[in-house]
Amino acid sequence: MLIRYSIRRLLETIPTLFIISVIVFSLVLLIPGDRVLVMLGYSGGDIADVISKEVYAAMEIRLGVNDPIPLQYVRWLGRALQGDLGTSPLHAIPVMDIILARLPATIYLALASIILGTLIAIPLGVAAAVKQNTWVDHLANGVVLFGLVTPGFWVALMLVLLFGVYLGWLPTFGYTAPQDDFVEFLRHITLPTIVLALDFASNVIRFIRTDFIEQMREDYVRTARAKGLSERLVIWKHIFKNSMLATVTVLGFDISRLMGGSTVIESLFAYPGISFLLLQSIFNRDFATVQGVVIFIALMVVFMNYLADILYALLNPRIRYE
Amino acid sequence: MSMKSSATWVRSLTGAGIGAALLAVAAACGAEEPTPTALPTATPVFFEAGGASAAGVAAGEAELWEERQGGTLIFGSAKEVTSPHAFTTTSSVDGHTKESTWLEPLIQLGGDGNLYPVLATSWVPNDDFSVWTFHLRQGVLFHNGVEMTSADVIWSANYVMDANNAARGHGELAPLVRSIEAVDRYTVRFNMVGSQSSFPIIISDISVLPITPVDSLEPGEIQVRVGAPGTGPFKFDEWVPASKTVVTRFDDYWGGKPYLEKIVFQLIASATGRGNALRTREIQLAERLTPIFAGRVEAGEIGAIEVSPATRSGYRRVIFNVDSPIFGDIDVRLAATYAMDMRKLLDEAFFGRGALMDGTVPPGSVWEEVLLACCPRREGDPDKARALLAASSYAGEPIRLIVGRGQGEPVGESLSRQLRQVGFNVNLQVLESGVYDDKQATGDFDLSPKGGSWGGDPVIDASGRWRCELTELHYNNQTRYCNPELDSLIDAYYGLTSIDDKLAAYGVIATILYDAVITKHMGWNFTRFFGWNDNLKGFEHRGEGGYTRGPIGGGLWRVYFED
Repeated sequence: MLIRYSIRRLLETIPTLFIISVIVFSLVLLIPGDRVLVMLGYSGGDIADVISKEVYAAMEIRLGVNDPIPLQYVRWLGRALQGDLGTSPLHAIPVMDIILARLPATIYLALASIILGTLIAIPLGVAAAVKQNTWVDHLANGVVLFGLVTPGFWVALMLVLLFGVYLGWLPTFGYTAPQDDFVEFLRHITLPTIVLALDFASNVIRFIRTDFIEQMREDYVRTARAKGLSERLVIWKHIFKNSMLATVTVLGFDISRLMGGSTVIESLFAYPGISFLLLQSIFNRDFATVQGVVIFIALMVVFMNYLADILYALLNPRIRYE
Repeated sequence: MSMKSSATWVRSLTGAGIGAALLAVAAACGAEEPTPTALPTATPVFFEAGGASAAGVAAGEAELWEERQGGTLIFGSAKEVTSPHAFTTTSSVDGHTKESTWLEPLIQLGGDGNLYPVLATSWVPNDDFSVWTFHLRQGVLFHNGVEMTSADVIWSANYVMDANNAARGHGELAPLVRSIEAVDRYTVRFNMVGSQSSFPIIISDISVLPITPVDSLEPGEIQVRVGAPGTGPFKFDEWVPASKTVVTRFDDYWGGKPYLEKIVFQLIASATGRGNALRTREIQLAERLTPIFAGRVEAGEIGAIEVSPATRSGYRRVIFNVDSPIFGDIDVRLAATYAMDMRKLLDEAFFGRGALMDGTVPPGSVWEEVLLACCPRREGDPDKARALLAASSYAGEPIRLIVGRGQGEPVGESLSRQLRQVGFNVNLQVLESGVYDDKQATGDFDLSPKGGSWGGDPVIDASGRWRCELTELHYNNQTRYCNPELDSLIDAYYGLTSIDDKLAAYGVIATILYDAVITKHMGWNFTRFFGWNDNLKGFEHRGEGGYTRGPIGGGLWRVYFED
């Protein structure tokens, strides 16, 4: 039954992906700017460049920008389905290669943030629910409020100033691959991880706390307690498992967000992930890369949501039968 | 002009930092082959090139090298090297990085305005400047170990001139050069289209003609991940798109081994990030630091760092769209010109750091002398502006003043306020760069601030902005100003063979542009700073925002760490 459900959900993602592909392709076409000029190195504001008609025409043909838009879309989609997201007009290499080269850095950062965020969120969320209106609950609320109302870039700058500039403990920018130097990898990833984890945790704590409090009022909890189960068993075996249903959904969204949404943080830390790439590509009007990265992030979001659905079905068998 | 006065004049040009265009009318020689300075007349003449050539290793250099060599410099760049392709340059940073490390031109323009020998030791025109002969430096090795010869120069130039290769320098080179031939292994002859006295200055730009080995790229090849071998002091090593470019020392560099082992050009897009990384010494050199950061360093709030402004990195002017209904009327343009007080603009938008100028020429140069003589500055004069506006066809229509987001915002606010004060109805539009460029390209604007750059000759620079034909190529002449007489003068300028004639022609051209009132110049703003750790020595820059190239002296080639 779970397999059928998984296949059905997988098939349902196809129209979603198709619509996303049309939107992404169209939106990028609507972005002002001339792909040919970008490829020719025209910098617009500052240089009185002389670009000849011949060179411009040659580049137009090479990029195929004069072809009918539906043809451009079909060609682009056909290539995308084969894993070819086109060639970056700016870097003149395949977009997929650029994305894949930067994907590990983003995945490491996302995973580290999720792990740290979860380690903060679950104990704190559960403790806040169990110890309502005590200092633990107030602390959890404080963390949530701080995380929600404080802009990530400000937290990042403060951390850089404190741990990088004044204390000199951690680097302020960059990335080292773990296989090259694991200690340096940890040092480089620490500050951006803290910023993202704080944001992630503040989101998740709220859901865990609210859901946990609701579950604690359920009949099955009263029954468990009436059976004489220890409070620890009641909390972690019964309430926690059931409260995870809502949390998994939130986690799914947040993981998707982390995989593609840490643009500001990656930029501030000059962290070579795909979000920083996206930002640079937008600034440089590298349309093919923008298109590629956005579709890639969209795929990640769809995939993570799909995984969350499957996990949800695993946790709650009723979902499979509906 | 007598021989004596001419020689004195040439020296004064060197000091003033503008000799490049003038040297372009004559041949120049490197220190290896000193040639006497002579009259800049219609016949081929020879000026001694400014500064010393880097060729050869000075006495005591070996010991000095042992003492200084080693270390990795991490350079915080504001922009990236977008491609290691030798013939594609997408930004000034891209060009500076390549030029300061692995690629070299035949000759180059120094910070003092003179042309310097690099891969060519001398360059000689024929009587009517329709042929230029370049004598190449012998014994120069590419990074692949192969010696550079005429064949490589010819291949590189032909690669640029083939439109199918979409090389950056095609627009400059192709219209000027008819053919290229090898005279011998170390001599190349460029046969020009007519007289081209300014040819050397045009190819002194690395983005026009870098020299790489024969067949180092396939015809039409654009997908490049590894830089083609060059002849520079550093070899291309690694390129990570939107992240970093790494170069390593080239021990067989013709100018002598560089000191640094390796340079990493690390993209740190945020100016705050570059400043912080400099403070923590994670990077040792950074470009485009903010005036606020520089001010703190200058005030002693931040120690162990040195800063220096790039005084010719940002030229600012305001252009009128003469095709627009409002500014089609020259009286309205004149009123707006007097409404704009560029000192206020410099103070309000650029922290008061800069120099007011009325053309894209360096202060104190003979070009400026010509400019001041022909075209007195139109200072801000609100009363005069109001009077002119009242007498003009302007009836209160909104003026579309477009500026780019970021540095354009304070410029737009300042201009907007000044124009409103005299009665203009200003519709200020702060736009993303793509939209900004598109509106300029399509003419959907009335007024817009623009940048500019000094390429060594204001007329050659202007030729890329004002020609009638460029109004069709929307990205070149965005004012839409078209004057066939001006076009003829620019065309004729390329064939002028005497300095006096060139200066006179510049005066006429500048007057036409001045009378047409299509631009209000502000001048240079000094808001981009280099900063480096105080244990880093030997860094020099030319002031235009780039890094001094090896043969001129200093620069990254001669940077070293002091223990």
